[in-house]
Amino acid sequence: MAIFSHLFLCIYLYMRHLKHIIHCYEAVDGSRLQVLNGVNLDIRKGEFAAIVGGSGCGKTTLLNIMSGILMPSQGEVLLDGQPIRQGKHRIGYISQTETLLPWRKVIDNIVLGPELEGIPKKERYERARQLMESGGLSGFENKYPFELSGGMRKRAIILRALAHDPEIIFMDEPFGPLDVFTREALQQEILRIWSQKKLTIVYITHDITEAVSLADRIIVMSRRPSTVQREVPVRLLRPRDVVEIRYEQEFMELEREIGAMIRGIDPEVRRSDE
Amino acid sequence: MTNRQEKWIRRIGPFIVLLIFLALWQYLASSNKINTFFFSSPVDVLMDFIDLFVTGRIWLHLWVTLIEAISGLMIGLGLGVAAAFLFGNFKILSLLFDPIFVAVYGLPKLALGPLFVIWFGLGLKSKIIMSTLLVFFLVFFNAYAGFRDVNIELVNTLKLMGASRLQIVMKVTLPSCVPWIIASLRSGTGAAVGGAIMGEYLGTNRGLGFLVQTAGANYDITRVMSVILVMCILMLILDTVGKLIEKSVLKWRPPVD
Repeated sequence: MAIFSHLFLCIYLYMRHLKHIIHCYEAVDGSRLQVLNGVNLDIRKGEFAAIVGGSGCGKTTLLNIMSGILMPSQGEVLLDGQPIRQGKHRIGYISQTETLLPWRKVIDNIVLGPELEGIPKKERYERARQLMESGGLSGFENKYPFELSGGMRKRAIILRALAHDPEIIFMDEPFGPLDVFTREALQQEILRIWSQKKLTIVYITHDITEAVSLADRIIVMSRRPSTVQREVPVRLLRPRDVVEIRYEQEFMELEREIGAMIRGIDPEVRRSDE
Repeated sequence: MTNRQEKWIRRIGPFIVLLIFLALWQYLASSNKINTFFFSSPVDVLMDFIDLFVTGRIWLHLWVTLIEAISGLMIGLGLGVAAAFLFGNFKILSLLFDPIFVAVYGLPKLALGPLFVIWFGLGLKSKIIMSTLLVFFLVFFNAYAGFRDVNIELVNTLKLMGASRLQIVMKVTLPSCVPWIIASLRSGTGAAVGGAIMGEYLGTNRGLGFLVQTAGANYDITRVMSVILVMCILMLILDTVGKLIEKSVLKWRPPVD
């Protein structure tokens, strides 16, 4: 009976279900460094979830495990009730590094996902052109990535993920290296796309302001070996303006609460603050 | 130095230096301050150079060397890239052969010449093999470095998009090696011509190397120098072609300047 109800949950409510993930890295000297310790996490379909935590708490490791890049030492990850496997699911992954293929023009980068799937050339380029139009990149189809600004390259990476019609998108501090104004514009853009396309997004960041202004739910990681310390729902109204929302009372309280949580968790951070 | 001055010096400076050198050489030769039997003179070399082309005697030799060099370049390039690819994909191969390759690479290839002549004869074959060997190692080490340098983030991105192993090779691994291969192609051109000429020194009856060899044996210094001039011009042309190929293939890279 227990098994039955679990399956039921996986299929109908949960996109992604992590079961007691434990992960260790083998250090150079042969000792084992445990990064994750029994993480248990559900991501709901259509949810915007943010994972926050101090540095070195294994956020990126967790994301790599969830997306199937990394196999956990122990535990499993389910997507729609199926164990996650590379190549079986359509997964969008946007990291803070540049992952456009530099030798391909922008439009040739955006068609990559459909191209891998074998969608006819005309159709995939049509789709890419429409996406570029809506994503504010029209006119740059035949430029090479190096000819674009950092913000535009990030837009192109987002469009490439969208062209693939992903079941879930993972973002690992995607706008980290960009300047403040470009970041704000892209955060607003990602919110627009998320609500328009009804995407499921898991967003990793150490920036609490960013997490609160974007997410439905914030998952706070403990320090290493990490578990999920707390899950905090964000009940701010949508649609949100990522700049304006910061001045609302509820926002500021939430930001302070989560900040205190992380500082309390990470003694190093607390020490440097005092 | 202003930018404009620098540009002009870059453009005509080397020619002026060369002209001064040639004028000095010619002066010393004409005034019998040096022995023209051993050192020839710029005018004599130029006359002989023109003569080689006017009489058409150079064409056969030029053609033969070019064929040898280009065959060596193409075969060496193909084998080098293929070997690098196999080494990159099958660890067992690199474990078995890495030390052997390094040892053979360090060997002066000229030392192998007599073996090639015995095994493959005095014809084109032994020269092409010598040239291939020189090119192969250059390309192999470059392309191998390229394969190992593939950006793992790009590979992961494609994996997550559901790419197969073959798709990753075709769409990431090979394209990201292209700059390395192009770089080795350009230095490989020099190695290919060098290998062909080295092979000709070992014994043959045609080719630019053969011309230099026989002229040297006859103490015909003027001829030696005029054929060397032909080689210089040949290299200049091949290098320019290489540069043009590089420019058109690598236009996705930000300009270095």
